[in-house]
Amino acid sequence: MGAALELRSVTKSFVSTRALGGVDLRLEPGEVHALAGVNGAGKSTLIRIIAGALAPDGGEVVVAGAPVRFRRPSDAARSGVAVVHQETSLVASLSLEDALLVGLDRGPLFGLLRTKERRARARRMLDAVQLDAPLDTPVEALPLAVRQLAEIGRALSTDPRVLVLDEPTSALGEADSDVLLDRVRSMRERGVAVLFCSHRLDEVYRIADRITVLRDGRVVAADSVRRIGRAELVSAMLGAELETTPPMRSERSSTRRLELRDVTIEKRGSSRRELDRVGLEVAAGEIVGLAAVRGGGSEALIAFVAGLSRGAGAMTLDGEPYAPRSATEAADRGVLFLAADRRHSVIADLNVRWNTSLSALRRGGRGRWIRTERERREVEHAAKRVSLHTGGTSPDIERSVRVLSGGNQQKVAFARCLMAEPRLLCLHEPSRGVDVGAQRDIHALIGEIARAGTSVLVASSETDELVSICDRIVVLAAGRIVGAFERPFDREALAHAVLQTGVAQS
Amino acid sequence: MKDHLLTWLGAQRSILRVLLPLVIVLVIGSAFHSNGAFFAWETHRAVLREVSVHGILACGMTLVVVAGGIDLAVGSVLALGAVSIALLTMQRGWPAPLAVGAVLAMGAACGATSGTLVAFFRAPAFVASLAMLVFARGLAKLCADGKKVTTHFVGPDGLDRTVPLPALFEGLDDRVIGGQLSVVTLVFVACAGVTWLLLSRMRIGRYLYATGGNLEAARLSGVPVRTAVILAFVFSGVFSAIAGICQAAQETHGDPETGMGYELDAIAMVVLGGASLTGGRGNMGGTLVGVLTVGYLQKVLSLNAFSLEARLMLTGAILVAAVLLQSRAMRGTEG
Ligand SMILES: Nc1ncnc2c1ncn2[C@@H]1O[C@H](COP(=O)(O)OP(=O)(O)OP(=O)(O)O)[C@@H](O)[C@H]1O
Ligand SMILES: [Mg+2]
Repeated sequence: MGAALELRSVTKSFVSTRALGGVDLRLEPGEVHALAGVNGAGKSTLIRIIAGALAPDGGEVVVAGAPVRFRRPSDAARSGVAVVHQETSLVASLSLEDALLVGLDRGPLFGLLRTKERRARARRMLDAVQLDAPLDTPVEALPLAVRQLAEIGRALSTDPRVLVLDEPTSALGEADSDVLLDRVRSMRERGVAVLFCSHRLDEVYRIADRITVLRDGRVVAADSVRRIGRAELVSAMLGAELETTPPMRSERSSTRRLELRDVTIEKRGSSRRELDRVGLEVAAGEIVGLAAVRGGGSEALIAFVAGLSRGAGAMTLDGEPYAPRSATEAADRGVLFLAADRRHSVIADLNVRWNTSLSALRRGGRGRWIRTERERREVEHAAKRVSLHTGGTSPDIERSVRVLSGGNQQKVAFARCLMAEPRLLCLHEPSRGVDVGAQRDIHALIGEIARAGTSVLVASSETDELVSICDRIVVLAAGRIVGAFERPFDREALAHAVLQTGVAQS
Repeated sequence: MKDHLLTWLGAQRSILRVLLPLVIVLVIGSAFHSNGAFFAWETHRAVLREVSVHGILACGMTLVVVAGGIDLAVGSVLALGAVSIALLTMQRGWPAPLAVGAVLAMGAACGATSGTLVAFFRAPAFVASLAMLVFARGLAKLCADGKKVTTHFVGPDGLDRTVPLPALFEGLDDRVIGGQLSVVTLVFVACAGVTWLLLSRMRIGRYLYATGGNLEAARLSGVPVRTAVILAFVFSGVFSAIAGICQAAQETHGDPETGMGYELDAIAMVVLGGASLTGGRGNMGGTLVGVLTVGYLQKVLSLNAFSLEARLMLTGAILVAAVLLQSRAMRGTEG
């Protein structure tokens, strides 16, 4: 049987980076093919070439036996190739329905819109991933996980022969990921070829038939998943062994950093509450994890603490009343927020140096002048700590963030938080989209700053992540705190608590 | 070696891109020099003098555009500034420092109003500054009673009066450095210097770039985005008032109709200088080149005796060509 999609020695270089150096890849019908590699290995570049969003410098893309050269994403769709990119691309200002149907709704320019049909079609897209989201809400008001799922739903519903997913689960919790993996399996049964790129190796082993590993734009391993062990995969990705150091935890301090009392946020146009009489204490240097299914309230809680939303109830920070009216006010009190959505955490047009120092500029002791030399030193130090990779041999901090790979953009955002030396750091999906090695680094860094006295609130869809870094994990459901776990964590009980409350809620 | 050169050129690309239109204009000027007039120092001095007032506006516009906004009111605030400085110094007899201070404060107030509308009431910058454009022009006409404000006027006692031209006016339109440069040009250079400091050396500059580059990300990073936007407009207002004072000095009166359409020239200069109207991109060096490009373009056209109408049309066409050239080149770098 012929391959559903084939890449033949594809090469691609950017101004001073060789992103792909002759990649061959065969995608058979009815297989799930995992694409693995560290941040900046070239995975997204490869996928953008398949989608027709980038032109290769050399080599060819062959679909169903014929070389193709897609000029725009709709060309790919017409040949039965559906691609979901790493960053969600739904138009932020449109309603979810309109955003999903952009470009799909063909017909005469002055033809009337068929409202019912459109609604049904959008609904089918959401059903494909078992998502129940309000179709009239503007995309920008939806949580990242919903946007990501909806976009995957759209790709699934076009009935593709080749499905390409670039880190589809990076913002999804376990329940949503399971739904997605199920759908991918049923696509495979229908003979669809799936290219699946993920840094979550568990998922790779659960679903993939074959794995191709990219390193520095070249294929360094390609085999059936049964023949590549996990350690082998990781060392193929990194080009070295991954040393695992157990996280070092310090004694818990008794100074109270943050206290919340009876925090309640009403949901607009609904009787349910986003947060319902939440009380929480965080000690100095403590790492508290917030676990919840989507919409359970962990996002709402860190957003509230970081000054992004208003609600009833009282907070104190280091014993003083704390009621930030904006992220800026929160930052001035030493509370910093890291958004899960990269479009809210880095400024793509600016370079690495400016992005990294942005939050530190307001830190005390700095005048109104920028001291470039000192800034450069500090940024370089922060970049090294997060093992930033900008494409060359050593990190180039003058590079525009736009051209970094997704995981490296995340590292820049994290480096920005590090450099600001906050008192309290509110993290939402801190290691979203970063590779295994860098994830370990980021986890180590979180532990390091906590030992230095910074308190950390982490909301993550990955329970494993919380388990490995937190001192304490709080489970939320329907805006309420329904459970708290202390070290050592019972992984099963925790996962159960999260899922159980999630089920009870929907 | 060749590799090095290529990388270096790649890094300088944005600068080359901005310089190219200026170089083309200069080359055309040298080719059609109208009997050597283009090579005379007077010509260059005249270009600098004529371009200075626009250039001052372009400085403020750069700040606003980098922050993701646009200030359409600069021409009107300039007129308001010109009228008020003439009124205060000629007819009210205020001492120059006091009058200048009052006019700058007025400019700051205009900017603060537009800025507040944008930052706190979420008015689009286009709309807020358009309202200010109409308002300031109306106010200028009201203050001037619809006429030019000159040294001849009717005093409060109903008698005609003539006062000598205030020293401020003469001083500003004077020449320095052996008659080689107009004082107004020096004012422009000072404004450009201040803008450069703000954008490249001070914290506020980073905030302006961050706000214009990605408002949401900037806000979430703890950037005081509202303060940044308001300050950009305030500076633009103050620079417009300064430009108004210079304009009054060059015209030796305060004309409420002056500065019509200057906002468009300023925007053209800033865009030619590589700024992006969607914000987050642009710098003072680029704007300086943009200012010179427009100035020399006008000069070359007038030296070659193009009629005013033809000059307008050609300027429009050339601006579009230059901007297209830049965006083409830009797409190249993004791969
Ligand atoms: N437009 C661009 N201009 C210059 N360099 C680029 C551009 N896009 C990508 N690169 C570089 O190409 C390399 C590969 O990037 P790519 O996005 O494909 O990585 P990736 O494997 O998807 O990483 P991640 O896991 O972080 O998403 C990186 O070094 C990146 O900096
Ligand atoms: Mg990627």
